[in-house]
Amino acid sequence: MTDLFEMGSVGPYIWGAYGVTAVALVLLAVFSLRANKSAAEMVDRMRPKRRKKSDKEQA
Amino acid sequence: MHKFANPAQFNRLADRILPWAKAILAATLLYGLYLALFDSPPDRQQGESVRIMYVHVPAAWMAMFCYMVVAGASFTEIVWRHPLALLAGKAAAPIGATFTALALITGALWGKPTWGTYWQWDGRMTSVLVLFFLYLGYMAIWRSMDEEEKAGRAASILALVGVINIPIIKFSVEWWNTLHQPASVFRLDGPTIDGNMLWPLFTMAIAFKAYFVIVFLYRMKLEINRRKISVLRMSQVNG
Amino acid sequence: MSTSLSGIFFGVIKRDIRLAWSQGGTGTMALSFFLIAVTLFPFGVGPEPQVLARIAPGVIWVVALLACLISLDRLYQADFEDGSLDDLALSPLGLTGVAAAKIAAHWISTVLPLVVASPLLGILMNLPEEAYGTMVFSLLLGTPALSLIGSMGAALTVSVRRGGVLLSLLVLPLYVPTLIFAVGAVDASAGHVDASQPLALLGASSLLALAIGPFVSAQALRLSLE
Repeated sequence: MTDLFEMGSVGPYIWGAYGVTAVALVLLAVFSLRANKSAAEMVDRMRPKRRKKSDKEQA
Repeated sequence: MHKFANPAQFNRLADRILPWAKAILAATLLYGLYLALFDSPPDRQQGESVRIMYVHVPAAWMAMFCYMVVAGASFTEIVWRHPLALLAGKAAAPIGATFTALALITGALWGKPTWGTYWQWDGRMTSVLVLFFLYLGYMAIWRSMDEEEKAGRAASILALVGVINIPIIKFSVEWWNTLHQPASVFRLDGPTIDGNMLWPLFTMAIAFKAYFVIVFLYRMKLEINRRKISVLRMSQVNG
Repeated sequence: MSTSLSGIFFGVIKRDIRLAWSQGGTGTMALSFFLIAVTLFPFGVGPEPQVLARIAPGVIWVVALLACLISLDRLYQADFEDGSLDDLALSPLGLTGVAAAKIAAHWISTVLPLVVASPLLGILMNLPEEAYGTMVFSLLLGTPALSLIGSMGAALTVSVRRGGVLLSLLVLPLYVPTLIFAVGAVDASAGHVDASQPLALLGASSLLALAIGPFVSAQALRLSLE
């Protein structure tokens, strides 16, 4: 098991590279999905309001 | 609402692609990581640090690929004024910038145990650094103007000018080396790559590409929703 | 005032050069910046002649590039703000011609003085004697690319408030190839190596910038004028 982590002394660099990649890609994905979710909710919230308004206008 | 017709179609298409992309990502990522970390031999010259290549090289490929997406979207936007193209460039740029930064960081982490230094001012690294700056400029110009469309078109012009720059920088590789650091040679020699290393490399490359498709589609949806919000706001103000 | 195309073209050039060298114009400021910034380096890295000689080509080129950059953000902005750019856009010259004229004026009024002053800075930086010719020639050959590329950035940021920082973010990466070729050429001469190949590449980058610079600048300006 220690072999796996040390990898002939270059382990820290390898795990560092994989770790940085994982963290950056996960953060980007989470941020993108969350931002999209909140934007989609915002659209849903705004739509009915607009309809009411146009109903009033028609009335 | 002609403006919404296109995005609605896009959303349907995206929802059809997304499950497939997620399945491919899950499968290739797990298999690729297994191959890259456990089931591939250390390189004769590079030793174990060759394993960094399995994230570094796909990240570098994606950095270039994303720029081509941004540039293609910019071209489409400028020539045909396609409203989705404008958003495609905006959606792809942050992903490209992330992959570019990762290519630089993982490259540095590979360089330290292999060359004994994190950074060499060699042609390829310099050109990737410039690519990163181009992404930053593209994203900065998007934020600089209040009018989305104007900002997007200005960013598109920059992206297209940047395309011309890339081959020039690539071409300067030899120059840069012979004049400054003839000793440092950044080379992934073709013949030294054997099947044991190609498989993890390509599996990881597919995983990265699937990741790009997923995040890109979600960012497209995000941009479309943002556009909808501003349209709704305008109609509320005007109505 | 003549209404022929060349008349308008040279009219724009003359007017811009006059403005650059009038009170508070960019011409004097860029030249002063060039002289002062280069003299900072001996203080920063120490006055050893060998060290200075080694870094002289790079320092002179980088500072010339920055001096050019700081003079760029007002290239179109003043005309854009007072509305004269709209008038120029409607002239028979067209925006591409106007951009070409303004770029030419920028180079003549702001960059050419830097080239003329560069041998003086070569002396201060202990530049090897055999490199003077190549340095001046590389500046003459390469700085048009700086004005042309910078013009694209200035046009893209013309309607951005305090666009100077954004301008440098956009333009500096695009300056990299020009800088590489130029310093490569001067370094080669300083080391008694044939400099014709980097000089050819430098000329090529200027030509490429010339091919796209005025056109792209005009496209970018049109965005803000719409």
